Amino acid sequence: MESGQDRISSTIETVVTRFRTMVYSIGVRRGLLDADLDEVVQEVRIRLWRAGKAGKELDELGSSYVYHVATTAALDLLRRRRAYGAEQTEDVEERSELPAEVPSPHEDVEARELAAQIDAAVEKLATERRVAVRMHLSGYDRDDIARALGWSEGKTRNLLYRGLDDVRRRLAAMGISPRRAS
Amino acid sequence: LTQPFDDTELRAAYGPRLRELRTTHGPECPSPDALLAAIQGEGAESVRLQILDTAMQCGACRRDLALLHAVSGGSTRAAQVAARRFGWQRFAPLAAAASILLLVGLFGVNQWRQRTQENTMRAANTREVSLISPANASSHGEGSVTFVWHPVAGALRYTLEVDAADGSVLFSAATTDTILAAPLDNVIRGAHRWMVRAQMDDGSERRSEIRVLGLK
Repeated sequence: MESGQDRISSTIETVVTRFRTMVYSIGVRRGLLDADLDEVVQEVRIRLWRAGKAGKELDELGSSYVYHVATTAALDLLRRRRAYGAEQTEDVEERSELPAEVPSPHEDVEARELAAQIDAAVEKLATERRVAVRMHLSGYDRDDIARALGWSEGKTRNLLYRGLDDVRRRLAAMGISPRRAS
Repeated sequence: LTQPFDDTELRAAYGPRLRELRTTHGPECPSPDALLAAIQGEGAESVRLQILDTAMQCGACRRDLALLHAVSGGSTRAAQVAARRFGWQRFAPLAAAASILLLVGLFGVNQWRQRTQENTMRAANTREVSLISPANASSHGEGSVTFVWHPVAGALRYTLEVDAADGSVLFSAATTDTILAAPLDNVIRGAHRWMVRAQMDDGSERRSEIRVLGLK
């Protein structure tokens, strides 16, 4: 028969695994790193374990409780890093993603120049359009932008598309076009 | 004639800029609490604009923001709001149709049937893109990789995207089909992620899950 501790461990693993999978699929396009998420997930695991030991029925905890625990854990982690300068340490996980093959120096310079030209065009936009475009280029979708800025769906779409149009026009005026395979 | 960038090309071309952003915080960086409040839409709009504008130009803030957004249930809640909105829209025409039935009797039946059919079609559009192959975490050598997914009702075209771990786009291609042989020979080797986005006929976008793709 499963002991109380085994049951708590098994419940926590189920909750944490489901949570990690969902959160990772949301965050990866926006720059979320495995290492950051792992740290938070580990902290969530510890906090759930403590809650379980204190008599909380883990089976009955809703997803909002897990999100609350994870948000608090993430805030604590980020505050700690800033206080102790831990963010300056090199992330091993990041290094493991380094490509085995890299573009030629010439291609690399060209790509970076193009990215800088896009950034310069974005920089010239009015604040509202600039923020919407920067969030979009960083991987956030329209719902995220609308919620963060308290805008309606229509206003978000309008500002984002006009902002992107402005950027495209500025790039076209400079004679900059995408390289497309023939 | 200069061809303009499409959305995917613009994102891909901006990728190197994201990788170049500084990775440590400066004195002007917003606090973690301010970042969380901003991404959750709390506080004055002018303050949120300023915080997000600063955060998007700093690699360390961008990383913090991504973590806070993901673990606080950012997109999940947005999707739930969208689903609730859709749910209301779906039942509104039905309620209207029921009123018509009461008022004009049999003449309303046809109209009700038409609306029900429209609603069924709209419901099909809410489905996410469901991937078939390659399997999650599969590895591939040289040559093209064939990606397959299920069709989505109402999709005008699909965009396959292969992303690096930092979210920058390594390969992208659009198609109206549900199969695409992608020449990934020039893509850097490593563990990447891939997904398919469907551009819908109502202007919205549906996304698939994200799968891991190994290139050897």
